Formats: sequence, C-alpha cells, structure tokens
Amino acid sequence: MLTRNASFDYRTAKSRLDRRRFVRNAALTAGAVSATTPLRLLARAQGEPAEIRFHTRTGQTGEYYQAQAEAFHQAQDRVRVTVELTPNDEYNQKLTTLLAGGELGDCWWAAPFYTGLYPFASRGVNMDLRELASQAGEDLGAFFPASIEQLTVDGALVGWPLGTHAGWSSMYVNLDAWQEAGGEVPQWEWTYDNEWLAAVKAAASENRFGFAFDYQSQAAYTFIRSWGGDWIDPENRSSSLIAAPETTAALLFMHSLVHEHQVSPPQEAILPGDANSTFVNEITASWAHGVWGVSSTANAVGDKFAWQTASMPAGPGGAHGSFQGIDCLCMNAQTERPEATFEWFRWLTSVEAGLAQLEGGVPPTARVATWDQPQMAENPHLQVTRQWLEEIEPVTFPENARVSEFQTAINQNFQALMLEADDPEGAIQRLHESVQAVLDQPSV
Amino acid sequence: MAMSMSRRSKRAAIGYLYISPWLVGFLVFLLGPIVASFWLSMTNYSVIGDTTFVGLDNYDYMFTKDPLFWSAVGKSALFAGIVVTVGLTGSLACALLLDSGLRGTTFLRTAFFIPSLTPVVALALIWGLLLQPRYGPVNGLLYNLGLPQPGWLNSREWAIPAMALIRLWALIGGAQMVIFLAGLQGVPQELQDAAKIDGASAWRRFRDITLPLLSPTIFFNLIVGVIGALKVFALAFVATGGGPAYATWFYVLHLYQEAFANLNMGYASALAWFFFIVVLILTLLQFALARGRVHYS
Amino acid sequence: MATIQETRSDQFMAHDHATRQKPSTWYQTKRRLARLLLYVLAVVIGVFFLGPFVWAVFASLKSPSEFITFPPTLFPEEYQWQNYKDVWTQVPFARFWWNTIVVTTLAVFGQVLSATLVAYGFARFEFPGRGMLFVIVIATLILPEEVTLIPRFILFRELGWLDTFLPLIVPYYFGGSAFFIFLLRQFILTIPKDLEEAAELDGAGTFRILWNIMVPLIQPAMASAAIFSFLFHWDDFIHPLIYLRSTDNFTLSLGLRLFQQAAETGGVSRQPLLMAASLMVAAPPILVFFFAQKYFVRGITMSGLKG
Repeated sequence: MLTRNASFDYRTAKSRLDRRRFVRNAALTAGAVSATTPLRLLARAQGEPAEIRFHTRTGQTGEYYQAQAEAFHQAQDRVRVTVELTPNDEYNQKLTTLLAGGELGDCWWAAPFYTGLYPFASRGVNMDLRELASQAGEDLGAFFPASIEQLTVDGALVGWPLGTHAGWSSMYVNLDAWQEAGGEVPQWEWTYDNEWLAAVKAAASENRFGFAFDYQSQAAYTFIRSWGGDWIDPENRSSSLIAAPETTAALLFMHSLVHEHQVSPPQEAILPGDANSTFVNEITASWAHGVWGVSSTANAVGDKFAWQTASMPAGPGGAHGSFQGIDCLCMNAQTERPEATFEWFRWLTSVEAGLAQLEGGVPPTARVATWDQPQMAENPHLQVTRQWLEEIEPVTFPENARVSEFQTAINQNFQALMLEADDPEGAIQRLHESVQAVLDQPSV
Repeated sequence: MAMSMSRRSKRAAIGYLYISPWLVGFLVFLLGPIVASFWLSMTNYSVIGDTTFVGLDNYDYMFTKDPLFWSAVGKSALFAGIVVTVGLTGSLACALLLDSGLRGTTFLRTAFFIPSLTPVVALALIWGLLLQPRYGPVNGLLYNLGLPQPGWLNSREWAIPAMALIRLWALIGGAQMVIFLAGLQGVPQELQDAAKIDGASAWRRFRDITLPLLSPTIFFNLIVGVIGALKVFALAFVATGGGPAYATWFYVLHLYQEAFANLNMGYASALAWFFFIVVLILTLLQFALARGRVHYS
Repeated sequence: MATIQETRSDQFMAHDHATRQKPSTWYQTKRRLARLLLYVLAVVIGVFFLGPFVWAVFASLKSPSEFITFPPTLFPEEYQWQNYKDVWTQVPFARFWWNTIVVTTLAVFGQVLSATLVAYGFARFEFPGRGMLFVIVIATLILPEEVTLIPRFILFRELGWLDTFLPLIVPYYFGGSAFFIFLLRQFILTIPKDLEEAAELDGAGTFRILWNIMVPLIQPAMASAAIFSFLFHWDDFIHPLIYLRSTDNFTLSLGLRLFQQAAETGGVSRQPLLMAASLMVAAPPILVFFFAQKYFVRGITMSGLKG
C-alpha cells in the first residue's frame, strides 16, 4: 500500500544520465552476469563476431541502447550490435521503408501502437521467440503474465518483454497545493465518486485546476477500464464497445470533469511540449500519467514544489482498471543470426539492465525479480505501479491489427468529445462509429 | 529554305542536348518510381504480403467511403487559399519595401529572411509556446490591447488560421520574397524615373510598369506557391498531429498516415494520384490564364 | 553594398536639387512623410519576423525546466551557455557538420549548373515536344513524394547507394529538379534576345552565348537559385532519413533530431538543446544569405550599366 509521506525525495535524487558512469557500471554488472549465467553460444562464436542491426528511436532512449551496446561489446566478443536511430515521429515510416526494400535489420524496439509490433506480426515479419527462449533456458514465467499475454499473437511470441507499465494509472500530486487545500493524498481504496472527486475539487482554486489528464486515447483507456468497460470487445476484438454503458459512463465522467465540475483543464488550457508541463507549471494540482514520466517530472519540477505519485482510484465497479503497457524487442523472422540477436535481447532484459533502464528513459522492466531489488522496491513511485501490475489486463487491440488507425480514431474523436460542451452523448456516438469503421476494415 | 530547315533542326538538336541532363535524370531516377506508384494505386499493396490488382477500387473507396477524404481536401484547400493569397501579397509588399532604398536594407533583408531558415521542429516548438491560448505571450499581448484571444492551435475553429500564421511567418520573407527581389531587378530604374517625371503616381507606376515586368516572377511564385501550400504536411505532423479533433487533418497528412502508419500503401498511392491530377489541372489552368497576362521580354 | 548606397544617395541628392528649384514644400513634406511611413512599416514587419526568432535565441539559453515555464519570460533566469557546448559533446555534432558541408557543396554545384543548362535549353531552343516536356518538368513538382519513396529506396538499393551520400548528391546533377529549371527559365525568358542574336551573327556558339551573355544577365536569379539550393540541401530531412543508416553518416537536419524525445520517454528534457542546435544549424544559412544578398539585389552590375 502506498505510504502517505513517501520518504523518497526527488528533490535530492536529481538524476541526470551520466553516460560514461552508466557505461562503466553496466560493464561491471556485465562481467558479473557472464560469470553467473552461462550464455548459450552460437555456432559462429568461434570465428568472426556476428554483426546485428537494431532499430530504435532517438533521444535519451536511443543513447541508453547505445550505451548498452557498448557495455555488451565489452562483456563479450561474439555479437556486435549496430544501433540505428530514427526520430520517434518517423519511426514507423523508416521501418516500413526498410521492410519494403528488404533492408530491415535483425531486430527493433516496438510497442503495441507502433507498426513494428502487431501490423508487422500479422504479416509474419516478426519471429516467434518461444523456441529461442526455451533453447536459451529463459522462463517466460519470470515476466509479468500480462506482458507475455500482450505479446502473444495466435500462439506466437512476437516480441520479447522489455519494459512494462500500468498505463495512465499514476496520479502525480503536487503536495504543496494538495495540503494547502487540506486534502488527503489519494489512497488505493478511494473511489472516483466518493473521496476522489471531493479531494480534486478541494485542490482546485481560481488559478489552478484540480486534476489534469492527457487528451489522448490511452489516458481515456485508464478510466474506461476502471469503469469495467473496454474500447473493443475482448472476445472478438472486432466490435467497438465505446457505446456500451460502462465505457460511455467513463467517458461522460471525464467530460464532466472539464465541463460540469470544471476541475480539469479544457483544451485551451493545456500546455504544449512535454505532457507534464501543465503539472510542472502548477496549472493543475494533480495529473494522471504513467510511471515512465517520473524521472522527467523530477527533473522539470526541481525544487519548485513537493510532489509524489499515488494511485488513480477505483472505478464504480470497484476495479482499478488501466491496462498493461509494454515495450518490447522484436526479431526479424528473416534474420540469419537469430541466436546472436537473442543474446542481445537477453542482455537488455537481464536484472542488471532492468535496473539501469530506469534511468534510460525506458519504462521499468517486465521481469518480476528485478522489482524486488532494493533500487526498485524502495522507490515509492514504482510501488504505485507495482500494485497495479499485479491485477491489470493486457490492452485489447484490434483483431485486424490496425492499431494506428484505431488510435487516431480514438484520439481525434476523444478530443472532439472534450471540445463538445453540450452534446457529449452525440460525440460519444461519433467516436463509437469511427472506431467501428476501423474495426470493420480488412486485416492489415 | 534548306538553310533555315537545317539550322532549325540543328538548333532543335542542341536544345535536346541542353535538356538532356534532365531527360536522363527523369528516366533514371524519377520515371520508374512514378510509374510504380501509379501501378500501385490500382493494387492493395501494403508493403508486406500479397499484392493484387484491384482496378479502381481504391478510387471508389476514396470518393464514396473514406470518411476523412473530403474534409481533408477542404482543409488543405482552405489552408492553401489563406497562405497563397496572404503569402504572395506579403512577399511582394516586403520585396517592394526592401527595394525602395531604405537605409539598413541589408540588415532588414536578412531579418525578413531569417524565419524561413527555422527547422520545422523548432518552428513547432517556438510557436506552440507563443500561441498557447491561455498562458502564451501572444494572447497576453492581445489581452492587454483589449482584443479577443483566439484558441489558436488548441481550438477547432482557429487551428487552420494558426497553422497558416506559422507558415506565413516562415514563408513571406523567404524564397518567394527573394525571387521577387531578383525579379525587381528586371524593372529598369530609367522607366520608373521617366514615369515619375511625367507625374505618374506611385500606384500607377507600380501598376503600369512594375507589375507587368514582374509578371513572370509572380507567375512562378503563384504556381510553386499553390503546389507547396496544398502539400502542407510537416508542420501539421509535428505541431498538432492533425488535431484537435481532425481540425488540421490535411490531405497529405492523411496520405502519409495511410502510407506509413496504416500500411495502406496502394490506397495512399491512389490519394497521391488524385492529388496529382487535380493539381496538374489547376496548374495548367494557371498557365492558360497567364497566357497574354504574363509579359516576357 | 557601399556602391549601391552611394549611387542611391547620389540620385536622391540630384532629385532634391531638382525639387528644391520648385518651391513646393507640400510635395517635400509629403515625400518625407511617405518615407517615414516606410521606415515605420519596415520596423513593424521586422519585429514580426525577428521577434519569435529572438525569443528562440533566449529560449536556447534556458534550463530545461525554465524552457517550459509558463507564462514564458523572454530572458533566462540564469544563462545556460553550456547548452551550446552540450550540443557538441552529447552527439557527434562536428561529424554532422562535415557531412552536411560535403553533401550541400557537391549538390548545390550540380544543381545550379545542370538547372542552368536545362533552363537555357527550354527557354531558347525550339524542338518537337518542348511544351509537353516542360509540362512534365512541372508535373514532377506535384506528385507527393511519399508514394515514390519506397520505389526510389529500392532503386538506390539496386545501385548499392544506401547509407552513402550518393542519393543525396548525384540525382541533382541531372537537371537539378523542377523548381530550379522553372525558376531559371522564367528569368531567361525576360531577357531580350538581341544580344544573343548579335553574338550569333558574330559566330559565337550556343555555349559561349550562354556563358558570356546569359549567365552575367541572369546572375541575380542564379544567385537566388544557389541560395535556395543551399538551403534545400542544408535542411533536407526526408532523404537523409530514408537513405542513411549509420549515425556517423547523419546530416545536421537528421542529427538535430537526436535531441528530440518521444513524449513518453523519461529523463531530462532536451528542448533547450534542440533549440540551441537548431539555431547553430540555421547560422551558416543566415551568414551565407547576409553576405550573398548583394548578388541578387540591384547591385554592382546594374549601377555599372547605368554609369
């Protein structure tokens, strides 16, 4: 359970990724790993090292993988990884072009709403990793079950679980503003309609909103799940559940936060740039986001105010909801070096790498054992997520693998709903229809 | 007669020789991909998996079923309308201003030109902050002046005008203006001076001397400007992602999403070819209208 | 530049002498007022263009958290000069500069050269199919590139040019793209033919006519073409994105994006670095423009002709 007065203080624990220090540490742990875990070697190991190509995105996350590759090279000489970086916005385009031209590398980073996971997997681009895993003696039970479930398509394991999160389930609370209003920090047992709404209303003032959420599909999904609803029927994954009572109720509740209760910022009050700036600028007293935002928020808030993360409350049905978010590593089914590539996957998903990953702009590891390490177990922000990870379900994604169209339809129509002051039911109906239209399309 | 025939065919041969670099480049680098995309527009090509010929199905879907198609057409047309009219007038006005012999022109020219050098990511970053409706400095200024404060990129009604404003900021003092400046050199000062002595007003000198002599450059900027504005994509992609609520879901953004996010490459090719045909007709129309209005030497 | 200013002020002085003889003070006042108005206008427009840019310069000197502070202030609380240093140390920025200089120099040269030849061919020679071919030139401007990207990627793969600078340079030696052909053609068409015809009667070949007569006359247009070509290649993003693979081969526009984060990733925001890098990338074009502008504005050639 979340402690109210978290002792973990991000004011002092300002972390800036020091690349050199990080590489050194990673290399040290690498030595330890190869001493304890017998890495399965490939036939080619005796001669030249196997060269593999890994695609990922630019920014700090890209540097994290580059540093890991350096450490990996220092630890062994069988596999050499070239990290190829592409800006996030053009990542789908780059992978698609490479694939079309037969130039796709051996492996790449992916997540459920990126082209590299379900759309590619539905066309057999992704290697089924189960056999490689069992050859290497990897136990799939070592990961959070929902993450394996999320990555299993028609019985094949199409990605290797790297990072995980519990959706937009962390509530970032500005403690100064909250305590000024005399409010209690949200508890796990709270529900939206009782304590939560009252506290948020109390925290709101003339120049400050009480609670902000991103105008974005996955933020909405957290609420939808808490109301016991879903956006797609999990049974057939091809009919929209937007118009179902639970889902509609959740969306109407979000709408009422903006229009009726006026505790959440309308579109025009939302700040550009990183999503957390509304919170950082104290324009809102609290904010729903995921665990991955903790380090950037810590850096951005500095010592402006005290804050912590809590859990978003339970919905009317008593369910906390949210969904399993996942970052994964995918392997090209055409690769000539599957074992070498899998070595790289194992390197990135070791317990040690899982700890390093916290600083690297990657969501925390999906490997359960790593969460018991003191670095993670003693971090209250992570404990909020840990609690969720125990009970959440995977994301329901379209049967036809049209994840990107689906997400766009929800994002844009959700924004329309939030801009619609008078007829939210009509906007929800349009949202429902546009989602159904995507689901009715043939498979990717 | 024989002389002139052979001279003419010799000049024709030399003409081909001069354009041959383009011809070779067109055949080697451009024609293949263009033909390929035309063929793909009649298939269900999706990068991976089987590709089958579907005839005009993509075009049928485009006109009758695609829920975003017509609105995207309208949005790009509206954007282009604003940007081309305000942009051309603004660039011409700025060029004339810079050509009027003010002191410090060297500095001013650079100042006007600088915005066009801003990379699009930085453009989105700067203007996203400046135009924030409730807390941004632009609306702060409008508030102090007692003027209404629009919702800019955060509202449905103002998203396209805001996008046009950002584009115009980077466009007016850029290439268009410089081309006008280069064109203004073809306007001999003697003519202007002579007209001035005859007592012609500044407006009449502009209308009767400058404008006709500038018409080839105006024509160029119009053609290129219309095509460029209708192709608006990068700014929306970076700054708004097409939102809010599809407010900036422009045509080429739609095409891009179909091609690279949804892997409907065949359909995206059809969208591209529809765009091509419409804009080509529009361009040829401008060429036809220009005949007799654009004055070359 | 000095020449122009002097020529200009000489003219004005001459004019002033002329008007002074006529005792029309109203005319003078009107002229002065008009002139003043032009200055005011120039300053207002200048502020509109430069304001956000100046703001960006100060923003690049802010800390990550101040960068997103609302309401934004113009001046940083504490100037973060090391932002400009960090850009060079956090990514191989120097390498990106070198790559961009190589690509841009070679591409601009080929583009201006070949576009001039082709434009001359279209503007001054009659040959069967000229109208149609010119329509094709313009047409290549219109088709959205997004759908020819994959076929072209495959083409360059077949040529073995992927992850090299060749796709970013070589195609521009072949006609130099429609924009430039069209631009230069428009300018050549405004040049009277008499000079060329006279030279032809003297027995000059077409290339000599192009080089000795046409090029000096369309110099302003060629200078603007060179600037645009420079800017195009300097800022080109989509082609390096698609054809380059190794970070060591990145150009500046692509390398700039190493500072860009996906919204959901953590760590320190690097928006000020992105801004600082953007400004540094924009600096050479600004300088090139500043020093090259004399070539495309009423310059030495024109004054020379007059004198």
